[in-house]
Amino acid sequence: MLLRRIPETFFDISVTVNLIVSLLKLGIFYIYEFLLLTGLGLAILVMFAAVQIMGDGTSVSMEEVNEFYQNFISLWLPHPAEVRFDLQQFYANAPIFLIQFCIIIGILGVVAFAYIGSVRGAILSFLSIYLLILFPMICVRIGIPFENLKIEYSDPLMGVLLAVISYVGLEMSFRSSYVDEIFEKSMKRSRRIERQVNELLRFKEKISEKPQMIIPRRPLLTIDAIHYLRELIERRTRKGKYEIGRQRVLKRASAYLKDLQRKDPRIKIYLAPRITPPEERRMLLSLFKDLPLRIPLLLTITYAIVYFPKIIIEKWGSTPLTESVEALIPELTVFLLVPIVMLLLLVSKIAHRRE
Amino acid sequence: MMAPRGRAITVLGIFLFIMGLSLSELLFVFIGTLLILSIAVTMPLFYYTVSFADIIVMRILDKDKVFAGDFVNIKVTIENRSRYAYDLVEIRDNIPEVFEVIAGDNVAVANLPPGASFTYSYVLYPKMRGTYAIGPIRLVIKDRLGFFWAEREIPSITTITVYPSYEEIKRLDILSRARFIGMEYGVHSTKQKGIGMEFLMIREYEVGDEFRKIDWKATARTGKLMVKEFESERNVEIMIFLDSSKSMAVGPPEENKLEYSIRAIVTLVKMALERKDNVGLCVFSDRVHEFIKPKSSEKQFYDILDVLAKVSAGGRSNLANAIEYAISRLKRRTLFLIFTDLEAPSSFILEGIKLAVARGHSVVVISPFGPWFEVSAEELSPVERALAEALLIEMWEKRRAVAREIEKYGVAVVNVGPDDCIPAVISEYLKMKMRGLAQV
Repeated sequence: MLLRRIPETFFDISVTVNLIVSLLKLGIFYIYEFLLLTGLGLAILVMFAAVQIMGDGTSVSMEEVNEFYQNFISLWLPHPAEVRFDLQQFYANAPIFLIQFCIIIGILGVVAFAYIGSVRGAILSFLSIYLLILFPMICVRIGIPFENLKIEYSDPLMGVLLAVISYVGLEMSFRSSYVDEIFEKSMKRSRRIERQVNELLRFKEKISEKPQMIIPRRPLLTIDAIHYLRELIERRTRKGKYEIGRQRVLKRASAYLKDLQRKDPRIKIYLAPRITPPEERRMLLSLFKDLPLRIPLLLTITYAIVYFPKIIIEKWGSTPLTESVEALIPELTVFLLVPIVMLLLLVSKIAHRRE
Repeated sequence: MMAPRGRAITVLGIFLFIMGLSLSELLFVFIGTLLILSIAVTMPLFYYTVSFADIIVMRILDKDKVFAGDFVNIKVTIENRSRYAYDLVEIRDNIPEVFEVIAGDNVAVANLPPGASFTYSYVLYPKMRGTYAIGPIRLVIKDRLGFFWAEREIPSITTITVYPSYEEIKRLDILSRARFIGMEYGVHSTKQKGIGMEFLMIREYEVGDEFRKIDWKATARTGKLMVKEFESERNVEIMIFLDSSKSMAVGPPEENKLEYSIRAIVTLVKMALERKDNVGLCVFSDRVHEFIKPKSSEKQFYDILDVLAKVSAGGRSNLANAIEYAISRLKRRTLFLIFTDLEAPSSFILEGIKLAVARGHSVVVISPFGPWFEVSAEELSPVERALAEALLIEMWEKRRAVAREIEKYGVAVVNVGPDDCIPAVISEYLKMKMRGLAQV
């Protein structure tokens, strides 16, 4: 088993429901207070003005206005006194809710990647795994007593295995989504251009320079007559002139394309080129060539950076070094990681320069 | 350069690494280190395999000189001569802003195995005359994981010259019969024998016309005294002066005085060359920019088109300078057709006119009136319209004053707007030809 214990509260749905209800109650409370304060202020102003206009003998008390307005709002919203919001309960349920939210996002991410090849889904599911582990740790660190939410491993190396599996999954998602993301977009664009070129080749003028001469049977009532008048008006307006001008251009473009097609029958292929995806054989070959080289190389270097300093200090270090605080802290990895990364950046800079 | 996905992975890696350090949790340190290294290891491998020097790009245009409103097909071929495969290469061919892509796309995405080539094409619609550069070509290569991309601009530039629009010339070809030209430009043809010149039109009698030219039939028909006009069979020599000062380009880029003048000149040159007249061109502002001596060869039309394509507005107008320049190079009497908006200091204009007339040249001034080109009444509010009308009257008065001074030298000033620019120019040319001025 990879994990020794996953807290049961991770899967307790009632926690989420209670949280959402609490949030709704809080929302209602704040909406009510907002309406009360703003509306009440307006109501007081109106009443005051009314009293001034009506003159002496008319008086309205603040309490009466307040009562009237509260009764008015209560027709749509419950009175805040009836809405009990428990802050403590809210703080207690919020972390569980966030964890469950991470689980849902992770599952949705996996589904999104599996069905539509979404790389964002893969990244979200990757992230959700680590947030599930990270979040309780942060809560404990900042003093929120959520020990019972901490995930525990059956073996410390299982954590490393989880890291490797999740990373390999992420990299595989990047490689496999390549065809979908890049070639699919290119294919869509190619199809769009092909459609446009075909439409242009088949172009027929829609707006004629002269409106169609029709003799309507019922002069004022036929649709034809209305269309005829509309065309007359459009021809005279700027929009109409632009449309006629545009139609002329498209007509000539169509004639030009037909002429091009006569001279070179392959012109449609050049205008809407289809990018062919790499051969499946070549892609698989590339995958099997790259992955066995790349993943072990990365894992080896990572393992060396994370574990070697400690191993070296333990094996060959002097007592003051092996018993020092610095030998125990994980920051030791920085001593190897930073120079290696800098070295690789330097190599890439040289390679870039060379090009 | 790092792509957004690469940046996201780097930030995620650093975040998890720091979390691991602060919580003393080995898992996060491990996964953070793994993510950071995945980026760091990929970078040099990517840059090592990218080699733009081995990518050859070629562009072919079906014509490098085209009329505005025409179309040009551009074919771009890209070839991978390296030993590496590029799974995703984005090619973007830069086009001038005034051009419109009417078919295809100037951006393409290609998959280039070693030794492979990829060709794509697009059709451009140039809207405005001028000399433009197509290119450079921008190449973007991305890696398979989407972490990095490399970009390079290939300095492949093709110059294309766009001549002024030939719509009017096309109409002219359709209307090439004298009868149709008459109908289009307000002249009417007739047939009469015995005079020895080509008959061209019947018009109303003006003081000074010969009595023998009165057409009695037309007079009886119309009730007004009508005379016959004849076109001279002899060719004339025409020198066109185009004012390319800054004031000529005020207004919308495709609809200002300069553009209309150029279109009118193109139509005029075409018509005159078909009639075997000698036509030359002088483009000037504060100095003479281009000068083409009058000739009647077919090549002359394209030489003039080349010059007109490159005309750009700038500087102030100095007509006197231009006329002096032209006079020193012209051997015979010439018809000067001057396209200017008369917004320069009147002394420069009058000095030039005086000089031309003194040397025996015939002069006609075609003057586009600014407000008619610069703004459309439909765009103005009622208040703006009232102000515009007041300004228009003031400008018109100033123009009239200058025109009166010019007319004292026997020079006609023809005020034109967008709709009547070309017809007015053609009409003046035909009139001058009929009168037999500046014959070769």
